[in-house]
Amino acid sequence: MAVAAEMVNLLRWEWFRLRRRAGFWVILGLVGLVVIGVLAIMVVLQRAAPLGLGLPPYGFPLFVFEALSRVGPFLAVILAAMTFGGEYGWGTLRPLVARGQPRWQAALAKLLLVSIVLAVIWVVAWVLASLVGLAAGESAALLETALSIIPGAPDGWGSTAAKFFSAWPVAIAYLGLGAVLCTAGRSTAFGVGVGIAVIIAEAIAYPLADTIAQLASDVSVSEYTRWTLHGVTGGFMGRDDDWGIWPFAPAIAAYVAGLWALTLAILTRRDLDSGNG
Amino acid sequence: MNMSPENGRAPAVTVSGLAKHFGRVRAVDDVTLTIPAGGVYGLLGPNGSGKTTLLSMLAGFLRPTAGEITLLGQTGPAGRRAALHQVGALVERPTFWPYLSCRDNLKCLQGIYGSDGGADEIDRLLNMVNLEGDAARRKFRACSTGMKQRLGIAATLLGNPSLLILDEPTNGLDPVGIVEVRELIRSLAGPDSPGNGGPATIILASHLLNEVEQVCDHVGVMGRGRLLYSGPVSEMGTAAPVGRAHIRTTDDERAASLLSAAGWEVVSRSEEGLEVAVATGREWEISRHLANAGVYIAELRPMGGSLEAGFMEVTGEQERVL
Repeated sequence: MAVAAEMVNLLRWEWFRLRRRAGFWVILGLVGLVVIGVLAIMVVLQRAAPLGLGLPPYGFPLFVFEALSRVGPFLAVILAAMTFGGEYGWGTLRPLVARGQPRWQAALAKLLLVSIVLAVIWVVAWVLASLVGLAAGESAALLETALSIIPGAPDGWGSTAAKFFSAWPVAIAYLGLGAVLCTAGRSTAFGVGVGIAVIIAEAIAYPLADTIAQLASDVSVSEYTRWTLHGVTGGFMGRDDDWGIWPFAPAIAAYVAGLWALTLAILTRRDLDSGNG
Repeated sequence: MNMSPENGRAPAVTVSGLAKHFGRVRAVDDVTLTIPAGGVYGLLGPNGSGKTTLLSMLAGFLRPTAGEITLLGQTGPAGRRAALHQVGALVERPTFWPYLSCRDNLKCLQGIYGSDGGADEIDRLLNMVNLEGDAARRKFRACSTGMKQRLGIAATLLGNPSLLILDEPTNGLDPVGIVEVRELIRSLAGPDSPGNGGPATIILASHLLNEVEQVCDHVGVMGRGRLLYSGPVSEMGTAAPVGRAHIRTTDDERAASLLSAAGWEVVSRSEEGLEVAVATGREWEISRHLANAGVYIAELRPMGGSLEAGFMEVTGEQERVL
């Protein structure tokens, strides 16, 4: 209980600092612009579409999900750099742990806070997209919605929500990547630079991995590749199959846990310097 | 548990065989030291002698390569973490979040440290270091070096810690600020200290001999990562039979000639007077010698007391051995 109370306290003060950073609100503003921009384009297209060819309301969140699944990894890496890299640059890890606070708690509080912030962004975007969808979607599709909310329905609200929120664990994985890079390199620039390079490299490697997976499937090792190479890269993109990333949840959970554990281990074992000024 | 002979309290800090190596560099090498509870312990040494590295290990920022640290009677990783709740440390330079104001930085740290002093404590500390009003609202990044240093001192006092580790706390302060900080340090170690469990113990690293002499009760001298001397400031001079004195006379030029001819070493000469090497406690012989020759002393002041001579003796001895 004491540890939980300490974690809640650390989270509170992490948020105290994060919400006072102008850069944080600038980034949120940019994400907001992406979401609003996508929705605005869809509304315009919806209005211009011939009768009967418009999107159902649940189609709006689906498109916003597509946009967020591309923005999310960058957002996660940048937020990781803001919370971890900045502390190294300013030497402020020292005051954080000066009174005996375990370093792992300080690091975990940062990871949890950014995870919560990302979840809030996702939820707000989903709610916004849904409301816009309900307002702008075809009225006929509105009736359809009542039926398609049943779990397992391929094109209704349920599957849309599942796919939409699958982007959140993907972002958490990139948060772990950003945190590891910033902690290992003791630098914001290193974390952001290498993190974004990895995201771009993955985007390039994904088609290649897909081909390898197909080849592997041909020689009957598909299950192996599904949970490993193809699972991590393809699964992370959230569009591997109709089930999104969920079949790969164990692999992703292990990947995230590994990155988070590595961050905590590096931070716990390393000497803390007083930063660059 | 060992007790300090002076006040019957357990030592504030005990380190045994402590070492910190950075690759092939032995920043701290096999240091064994006991710092008594209460009072101010000065840590003297030239640049690169290992003072900051030693303090960083005490504060938990650096991990020792070897050796053991006992803080406030607590040892082992868990014990030391518990003891650190009662330790305020300002090591190397003050580090704060640059985008927060001075007040918000303290508020944030107060919350993280679990200090329940509330806004009153923050106001009291800001007043104590003269950072009230507009200065308290200024972003840390916009503060002067002196303001940053003052904020660093205020942060170490959050929660009334029993042990303060201050690494050159008067760096960047103006002369008035230096005097105020020295008085503050003395008051914190005095009987009216707000610290938990009696007056705080303060470890003060400095390379200013007069600062240590004015403020400290005990002193440790470091050189090349090793502890060369540890004991009461008052006894440090016994390590150095020869000190220095500053004199101003009715005729400095003649005084310099007379003293040189009599065998005293005139170390330097300026418009302000002469600096003469003289046996500790026998400065009166200079006065008598000059008076007999018709040159009269206008001012005679031991320079830095015997501590300076003791320091030179101790560090010089190491140079000769190495």
